[in-house]
Amino acid sequence: MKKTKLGSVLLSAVALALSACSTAPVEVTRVVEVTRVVEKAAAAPSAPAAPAATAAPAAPAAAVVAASGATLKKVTERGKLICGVSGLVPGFSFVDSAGKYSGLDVDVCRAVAAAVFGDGTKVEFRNLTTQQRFTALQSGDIDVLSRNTTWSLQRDTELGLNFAPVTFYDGQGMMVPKASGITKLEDLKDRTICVQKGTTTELNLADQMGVRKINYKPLSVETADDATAAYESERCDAYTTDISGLISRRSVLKKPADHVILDVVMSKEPLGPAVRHGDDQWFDIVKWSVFAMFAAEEYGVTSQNVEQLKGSTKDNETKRLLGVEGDMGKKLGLDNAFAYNIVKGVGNFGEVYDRNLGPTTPTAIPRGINSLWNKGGLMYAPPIR
Amino acid sequence: MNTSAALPPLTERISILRWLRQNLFRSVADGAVTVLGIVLLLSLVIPIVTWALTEARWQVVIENIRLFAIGQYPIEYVWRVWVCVLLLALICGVSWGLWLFRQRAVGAAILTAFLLLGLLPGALSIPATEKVAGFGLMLPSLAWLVAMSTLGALGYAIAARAPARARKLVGPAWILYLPVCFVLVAGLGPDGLLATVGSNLWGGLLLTLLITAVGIVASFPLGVLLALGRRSKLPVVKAFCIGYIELIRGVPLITILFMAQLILPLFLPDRVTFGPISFRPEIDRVIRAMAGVSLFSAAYMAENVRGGLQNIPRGQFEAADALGLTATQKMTLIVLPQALRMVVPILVGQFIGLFKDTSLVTIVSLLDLLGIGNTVLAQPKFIGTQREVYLFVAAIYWIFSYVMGAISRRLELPQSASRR
Repeated sequence: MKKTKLGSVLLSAVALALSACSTAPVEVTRVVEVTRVVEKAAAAPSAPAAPAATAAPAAPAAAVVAASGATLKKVTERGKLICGVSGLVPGFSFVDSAGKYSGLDVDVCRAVAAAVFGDGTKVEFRNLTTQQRFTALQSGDIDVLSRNTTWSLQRDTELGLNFAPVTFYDGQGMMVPKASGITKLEDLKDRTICVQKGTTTELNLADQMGVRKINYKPLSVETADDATAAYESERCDAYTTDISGLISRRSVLKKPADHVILDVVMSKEPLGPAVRHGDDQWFDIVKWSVFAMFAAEEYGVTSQNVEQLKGSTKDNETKRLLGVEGDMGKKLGLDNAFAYNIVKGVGNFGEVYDRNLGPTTPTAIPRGINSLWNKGGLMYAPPIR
Repeated sequence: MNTSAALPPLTERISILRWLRQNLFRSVADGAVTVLGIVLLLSLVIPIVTWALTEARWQVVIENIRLFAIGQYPIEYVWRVWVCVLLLALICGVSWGLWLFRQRAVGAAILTAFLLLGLLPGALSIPATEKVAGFGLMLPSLAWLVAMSTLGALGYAIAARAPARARKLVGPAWILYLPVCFVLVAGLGPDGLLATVGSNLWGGLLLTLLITAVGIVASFPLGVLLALGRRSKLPVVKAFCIGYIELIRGVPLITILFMAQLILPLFLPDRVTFGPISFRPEIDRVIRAMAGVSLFSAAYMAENVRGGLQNIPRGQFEAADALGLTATQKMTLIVLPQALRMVVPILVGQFIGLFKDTSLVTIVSLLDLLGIGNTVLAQPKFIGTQREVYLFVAAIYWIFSYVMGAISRRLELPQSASRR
């Protein structure tokens, strides 16, 4: 929170400098006005205890960027979508050897670009750190944040974010060697557990074990790599971090098959794309871009058969999805074929998942709760009508 | 260092044994320390070398060499980058022939840098596949090396044959080089040979070098002006310069970059309208980073130059006044040349620092050499190759820093005031 305070101080300093330098009087007022708004937004998270402050902040952050429709206009004018990603998470966002961005988070951005432009390549990616991601979104530097961001109440309110549907349900898990015979958390009594220092994972481990009254020895290490190394050299009996992380880490162990991930989920980490408060139309566009991918998977529309289905389908739901019938796209301010473009250019959610996290990839993660609702998962799209 | 630079008597130089005895085994204690040192050194070096030769997965570097070199720069326009490199070879050749032809060490340093640059194009011309043959990598590299050395030699020949003409050419060539290069890299129009390449696609070593070059070129004159301004008798100018220098020096570079990337957009109006012209003010991110680095570096540059200015004896000013020189003449002809010469080592030290500081642009989501390294580590195939990637990146930083240092050491000698 110190950062935000520093930020607001700097903001006012710069505002002073700017207003002093500027010669056009109209601009001066604008600068001052904007600054006041930003200060509130930036300062609010630093005082979560004050009830008055918590009620106010969301709106001003949105006011910076504006009213409904402004983002879409800005994006179409620019000719490309700017999407904030991590760029450092295997399977979710990274740059491959050919210089192309890949991953689940990246494909979500491509889907939004396909919905807006009919072309999934019209998107520019920005690598953002955990610290700068929210500022980047609030300042309008990016249009969508698709960066392994956990949906939480504080972020939804104070930080002025609107979360589109969750694209990956993650959670904290525990990996142990198969030979150890450990099957549940209780078996870890008096064992050593590797955990990354200073993370929510570390705190959550303490909480979970405390509730169950299990004694354990934490081995706190600095980075995920150190944790993996410590685990592999058997300095600890178990390794805990997000399940997606465990799975990608397991794939680089010497004998991945000798390790199991326990069937416990110690925390909820719903990850999904987010936009800033205040532009409902843009929020709808991102939301329904993701829903369109879910729906396409549900109706069996793939990038392979979408062309043919568009002409031949008799199913009314599919017709509306692909823009053959009803003005679904128009209602979002997009082309009626927006979902068709998404599926054609990027694929349905199942295809996207399999491409990035499917069984044939090095980062294979079983679908589990990330399956469609009718297959025992949580992915559910409201009716498109 | 002066004592070791002076050559010892001939008799002491010819015998290796004598040298060993003199330097490593002078006494029992010396011998013990030497042996201990060697054992320690070997116990460190052997595992590292063993790791580097057997365990290390250098495939991560080989497969991603293009990313490291130019980031996501489109492959069809890569030749434009190489034209830049070739031009540099030519200008370096001319300069070498003119000024430094007796300095073998500088030649060696420049050659090393070009060798490294030469290895890259070879890697670039092959598509990134899983099977990269060592020979396939070498061949195009050799071709580029030949091209570069030919041009370098050509430049050298021009300088040697016609020093006067070359001397006239080389100054403007250096001044024009960076803008020309910038245009080549960035492109001009929407289509054609020089189609625009968005700065979000620049990356790797290319971006690092561009930011460094622009940072050096822009911060140097700015720094000199600020230094002069700080010594000015005009109160407003002086106050402004002091305020600027102290403000910038009181803030970390990260903060400035952060402000430029994330805070600046908040202050820019959504739309600027001048009569019929209406546009959305979005300043290019790379430009913002370059501006941040330059403005930051200029403040430090100013203080370094001021150090040089303060060392100019009063007599020099008075002599200039006595000759009836104007204030401008006094500065440009008498004071600045001497002051700048005095601070060459410090300035080069600062340039090296600036070169390494550019790695901070990773935190404002630019993919420079280090940023590319980080993102390469997220490739599912190469999880856990931190050592290889960071060693490679460090080696590149080291080579360039060393070359800069080596050149500056040679620059200092003929220019130092004592030798004039």
